[in-house]
Amino acid sequence: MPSIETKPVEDTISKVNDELAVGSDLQFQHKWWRFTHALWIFFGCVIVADLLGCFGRGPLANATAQTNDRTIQVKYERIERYAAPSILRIDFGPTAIHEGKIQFWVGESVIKALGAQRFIPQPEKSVVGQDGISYTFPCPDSPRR
Amino acid sequence: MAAVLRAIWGYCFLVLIVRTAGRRPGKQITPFEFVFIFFAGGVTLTSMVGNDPSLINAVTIIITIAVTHFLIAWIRHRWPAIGLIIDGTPLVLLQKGEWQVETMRRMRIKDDDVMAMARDNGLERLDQIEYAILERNGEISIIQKSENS
Repeated sequence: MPSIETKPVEDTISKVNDELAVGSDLQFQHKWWRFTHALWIFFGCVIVADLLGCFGRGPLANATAQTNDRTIQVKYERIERYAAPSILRIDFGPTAIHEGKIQFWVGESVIKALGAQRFIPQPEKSVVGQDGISYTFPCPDSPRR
Repeated sequence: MAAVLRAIWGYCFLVLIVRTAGRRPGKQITPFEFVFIFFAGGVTLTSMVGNDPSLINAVTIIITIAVTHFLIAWIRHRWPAIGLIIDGTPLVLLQKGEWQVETMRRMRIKDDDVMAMARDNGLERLDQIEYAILERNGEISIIQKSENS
C-alpha cells in the first residue's frame, strides 16, 4: 500500500498575547493598506480621466478637422478604443455638391485600419478602386452629411 | 488568442478588485455587496467574450480561467509571501476587552458586525468575547471568554 509523506506538527503560527495562534502579519497589513490607499487614488483618477474622455467617448476625445473653404468638415474621435466601433461624421458644404450628388473617396489606408461598417445615409453607389472605395451620395437640394 | 489573454487579464483584474474593495464578513454579505460582485463579474464577462459568443470561445475562456486559477493557487502555496498578497492576513478586531480601532476603521467593520457573529456563536453580549478575528476568507472568528476569566 503506498504511503503518504508525513511530518510532525510544529508551532509555526504567530500568537497574539502569547496564547492564541492567529498568524497575523501586521507589518504586511500596514503595507497593504498603504498600497490600497494609492490604488483608490489611482481608481479615482481613472474615473475622472474616463469622464473627461481620455480613453475616448468624451469631451477631450472629440475632434474636428475641416478644409480651408469648409467644403468638408470631419468630426472624429481623437482617441479610439480597440475593437470597438466609433462614429466618423462628415459634413459637406454646398461646394461639394455636383449635379445633385456628392462623390466621396475613402483611401485604403483608412478602410483597412478602421473598416466601414455602416453608412448613414446609405450611398447610392460604391465602387471599389485600386487603392480605396468611391461612394456616391444623392444630394437633391441642401448640404448633406 | 485574444480570448485567452482577455480571460487571464479579467481573472487577475477581478482578483485585484475584490481584494482591494475590502474584506467584509462573509456570512454577513449584504445586498449591496451582492450587487458589486455580480455587477463586476457580469461586466468582466462581457469584455472577455468580446464579439465572439461561440461555444469554442466559451470553452477556451473557461479552461483559461481554470488554468489561471490553478497557477495562482500553486504560486500561493509555493511562495507564502505571494499568498499573503492574494489572501491577506488574519486581523484581530477585539482582544481582551479592547477594540482594535485602526483595524476596524480600515477594514470598515463595526462593532455590530462582530456582535452579529457573536450571536451566531450563541453569545449574548460583547463582554463575553475574548478575541474576535477577521479571517482571510472574510469571516469573523469569535473566541469566548473562559468561565473562570
